[in-house]
Amino acid sequence: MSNRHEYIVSRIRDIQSPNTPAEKICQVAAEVLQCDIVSICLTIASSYSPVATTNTLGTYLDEEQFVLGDGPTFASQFSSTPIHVENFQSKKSADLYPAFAKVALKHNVISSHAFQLTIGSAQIGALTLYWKHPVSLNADYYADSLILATLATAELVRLQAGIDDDSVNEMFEMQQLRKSVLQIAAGMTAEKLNCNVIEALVRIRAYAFSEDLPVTEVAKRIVNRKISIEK
Amino acid sequence: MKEQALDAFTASELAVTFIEVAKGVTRGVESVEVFTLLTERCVKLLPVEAAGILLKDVTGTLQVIGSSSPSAHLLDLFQVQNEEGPCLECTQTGLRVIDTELSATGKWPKFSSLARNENYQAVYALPLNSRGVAIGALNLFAVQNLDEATLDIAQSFADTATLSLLQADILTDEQIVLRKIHIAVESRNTVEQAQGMIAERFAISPDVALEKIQAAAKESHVTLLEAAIAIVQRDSASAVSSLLEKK
Repeated sequence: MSNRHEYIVSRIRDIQSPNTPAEKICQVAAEVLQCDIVSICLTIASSYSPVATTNTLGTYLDEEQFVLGDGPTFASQFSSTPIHVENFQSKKSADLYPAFAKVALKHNVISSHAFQLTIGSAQIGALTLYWKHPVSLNADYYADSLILATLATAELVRLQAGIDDDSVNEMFEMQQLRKSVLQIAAGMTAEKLNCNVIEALVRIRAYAFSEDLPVTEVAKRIVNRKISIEK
Repeated sequence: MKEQALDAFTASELAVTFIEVAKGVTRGVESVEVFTLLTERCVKLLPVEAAGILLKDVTGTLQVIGSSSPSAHLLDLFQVQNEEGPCLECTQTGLRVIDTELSATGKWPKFSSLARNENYQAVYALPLNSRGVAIGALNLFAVQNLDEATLDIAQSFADTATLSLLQADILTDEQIVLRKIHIAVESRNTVEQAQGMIAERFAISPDVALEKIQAAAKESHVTLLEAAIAIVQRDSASAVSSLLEKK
């Protein structure tokens, strides 16, 4: 774990509030990146669902992008790298996002950086950062954003698995998400159930929770063909 | 005047130069330093009187990044090439440009006249090519013609400049490194997911599945990652998918 990763995780753990883990991620993102609004949304198969935000305006801004079909969060679904808008007032941004740039400016939002939440080539959602002033992400902010996006990805898989335990420990267990064995197990399950890999990961996660096993243990058993997830 | 044959001294100095560049790049030394070193060594080791490395900036303007001498006359020779001259042509075509006549009635009269005034007899522009795109050129000014072997050595200076530039950018831009690492992790995950799918489809181990995907990628002339994406996304139009269909 890098020092920054450790710091961010400790900040999330330290929040003493009834907030959900996703809300805590947003809260810490706003703090470490000094941004005005942070939001996390689910974007499976191009359909949008809000998950958490630091301000209801965040949900509105995310949602508008899916209604209008433009904006950095919307565009992040089709990109392999984060989408950066340093200034919605620039001609470049107005040309790229003609409809959403107007909406953002109307609400005094000047800058937005959207990080797609993916596992391999499969997308599950987006973490969007909004500022009321122009922002160019420096290397430190970029690194922190990637850490927060990784945590948010794990949290979305957990939520999709229907796990109602909101303890942050659950969330951190999902940091195993990038492990090779889990990816291979997800591929095997996706093939068997004829579903996408995100759904397969969600099912593996739900199975691990119901059997009270670590998710990597379930993955190992799937790869060794000791168990298989049934429909 | 230096001999054109690659003698033991020149060979050893070339090796020292490339080691110095490598050390500088890994330390994160700026391109300007590396380019200056390379142009100085061009003048020391090759039968040339002056050398400069120019890069095209975002506006397409040739910018001198390093030169063997900061003298005004040399800068004029570089500057004029934003309008005409071998360097301009070289960065437009990506091909080596040689002018051993510098004729006042030739392709670049203004440039030739300036070069002649400085007693140069021949000018060479060697491309800095990155993935088939000319990003700049190494400009050499000489009082004698260079043979093919010397030009090959000169081209290796240009190639080293290109490599150092790309590497220096990666080392000095942490964001690029982070992005590359992030993309690398996502790519690996995609390949593993595809491995799992193929392992399940054919009831084989993930290792054998990987070999199958690699073979299909090779046969379809796509990269391993492209093959993996086609599998994970169940892209029926992909040749990889047809090759890996269960019969």
